[in-house]
Amino acid sequence: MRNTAFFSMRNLRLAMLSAGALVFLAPYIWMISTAAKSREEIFSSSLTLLPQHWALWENLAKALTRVPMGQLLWNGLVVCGLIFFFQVVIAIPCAYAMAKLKFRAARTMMTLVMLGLLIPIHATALPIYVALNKAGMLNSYFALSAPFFISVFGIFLFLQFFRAMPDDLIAAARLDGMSELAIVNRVIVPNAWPAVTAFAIFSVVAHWNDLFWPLIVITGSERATPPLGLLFFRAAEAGDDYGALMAATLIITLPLVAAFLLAQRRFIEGITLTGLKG
Amino acid sequence: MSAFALRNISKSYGTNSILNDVSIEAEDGEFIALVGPSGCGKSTLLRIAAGLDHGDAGSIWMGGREITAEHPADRNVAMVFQSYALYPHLTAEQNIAVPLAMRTLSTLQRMPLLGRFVAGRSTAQAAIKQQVLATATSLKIDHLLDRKPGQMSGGQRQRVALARALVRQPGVFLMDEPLSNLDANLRVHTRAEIVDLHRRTGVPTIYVTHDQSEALSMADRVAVMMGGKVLQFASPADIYDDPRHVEVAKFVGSPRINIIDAVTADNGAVFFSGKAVVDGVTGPAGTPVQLGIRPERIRLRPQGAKGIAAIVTRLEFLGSEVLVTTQADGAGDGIVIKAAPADVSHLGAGSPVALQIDADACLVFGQDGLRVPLRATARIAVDA
Repeated sequence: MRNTAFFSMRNLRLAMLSAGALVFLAPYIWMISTAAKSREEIFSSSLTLLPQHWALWENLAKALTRVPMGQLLWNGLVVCGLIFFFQVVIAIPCAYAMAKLKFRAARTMMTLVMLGLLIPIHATALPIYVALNKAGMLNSYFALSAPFFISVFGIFLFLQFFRAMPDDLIAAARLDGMSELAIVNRVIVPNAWPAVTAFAIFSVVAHWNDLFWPLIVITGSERATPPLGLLFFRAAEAGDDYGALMAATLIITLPLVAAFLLAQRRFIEGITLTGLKG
Repeated sequence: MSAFALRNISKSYGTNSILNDVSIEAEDGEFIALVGPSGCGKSTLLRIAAGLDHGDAGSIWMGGREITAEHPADRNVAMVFQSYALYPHLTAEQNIAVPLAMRTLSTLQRMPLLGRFVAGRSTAQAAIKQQVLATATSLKIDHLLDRKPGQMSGGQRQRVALARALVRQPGVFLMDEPLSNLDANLRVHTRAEIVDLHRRTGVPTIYVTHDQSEALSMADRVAVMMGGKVLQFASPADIYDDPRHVEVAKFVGSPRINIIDAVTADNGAVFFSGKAVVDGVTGPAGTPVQLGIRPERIRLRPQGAKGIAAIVTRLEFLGSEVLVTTQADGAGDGIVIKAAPADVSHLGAGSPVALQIDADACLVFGQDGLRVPLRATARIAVDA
């Protein structure tokens, strides 16, 4: 009896999930472990998960002093905030119009959105770079965020969500005397939180971790985003102080991890509600 | 001049005609029911009346003023939706206050934070609060004002939706199947309440339903719609007793009217099961017609009595009455009779009976479905 209980479906499922989780967590755990090791220990031949001499504070101190870590995090916050704000402000009215209003160009717009989903940033990077360069706007928050203000993915996600909203609700709002703008502000947005939170994860995670675009438009550390800062750090340290590098990585990934853990329930709700998986 | 009128409304999607020259008007304080099977265009007509949809032709009038081109918000119409369409993120009180707030507060006063500092806001808001409370009290939902729609039952939501429509004192009330999401018990109860409410407020009401008993029991006048046309627009009694079209006769009444295929004879008599039941039908002999007889207008007599011979095939006991299905020659699917339980206690399946039919119970319809007028002089000629 005890054997059957031990190998029950539930335990089996848990074991498989744990194994999967461990595979995904392994790099992160190794990063934390390395961040706590001294330089000698990292390059020693013995591999241990737990460091023999704790050097976490020294590594953190190095990470915080050798690059302007505060500035990097602030830049990341500003860029992600700007991008997310404009994406939502543009995508929500656009998706509302396409989902609930009847107009002739609706089909064409839908096709354009689908096409937009297919074009990667790398295809348009060069022309945008040239334009920003000509305008003399490289090395600015604007250069970092503006190319992402219109998110076709956001439009698509909100579109799917709004389509499921009852038409009667919008008809009632119109009869109550609301303008189309008021309907978006007072009826659509307050009921679209699950979609907004889901979109927030995709948007913030993508742009916080993005290295490709900042690498193109930013040259100095003044406007560098966290991943770019890491790159500068590696270059400055000639790439051998892995303890400090991992400590810096830890600091940079920590805000995302903390934000996710704090809002975990709402995020999961958002993802399941929109039927999207990350 | 009627309080609210829809004149010659037509609407089609591509080649698919939804409404075909429909005219409906409501007098002051009148309760109009639009009834018909699903897909007959009644909801589309209501949406056109509200301004949510637009007809291809026709005009809409309110108290002598044409409002065809006006925006829904400017028409002063209130609508109750089948799904209630309450704002899920607002409490009952806020839901009811929305139409008032959108009308009486300026854009600036409605601003989330800034609005607080605009002059006159608090007075206006106090007035709104008072009106909301008065309306809620009259509908007995004042104890629900703090709840959100998700925390209310279907019946409670329905009342909040009614209150939201009522609070602004509209020129016309439009209701789109407001009872169809309620359970049967509550539906009958709420029916009476809506009629009471209508009597108290006196606002002309257009009520869409697919339930003929709802339409007959609530409305002052009923418009029966089918295939995008109004087949008949008359009082419930006229609709029931004097239907203009065979489809109206079939749609109204439960159990359904008996429809029998028959042929006219030389003298304009209509024969059924070899016996003339009514005469006076104008037109040439040999015309195929449809004979309609309400189940409660047929009387069961013992076998051999004057009448049409038939065999009982089924008895359905409904408490206060019994539905007797009988089979007679040439009656197709059988004839249903509504009888008192005491009169049929001796009958069972297979019992032979005679059906006595009065000539004035016979409704004759032509091939096109329209009522065939009978010559007044020669109505009663029951040879049965």
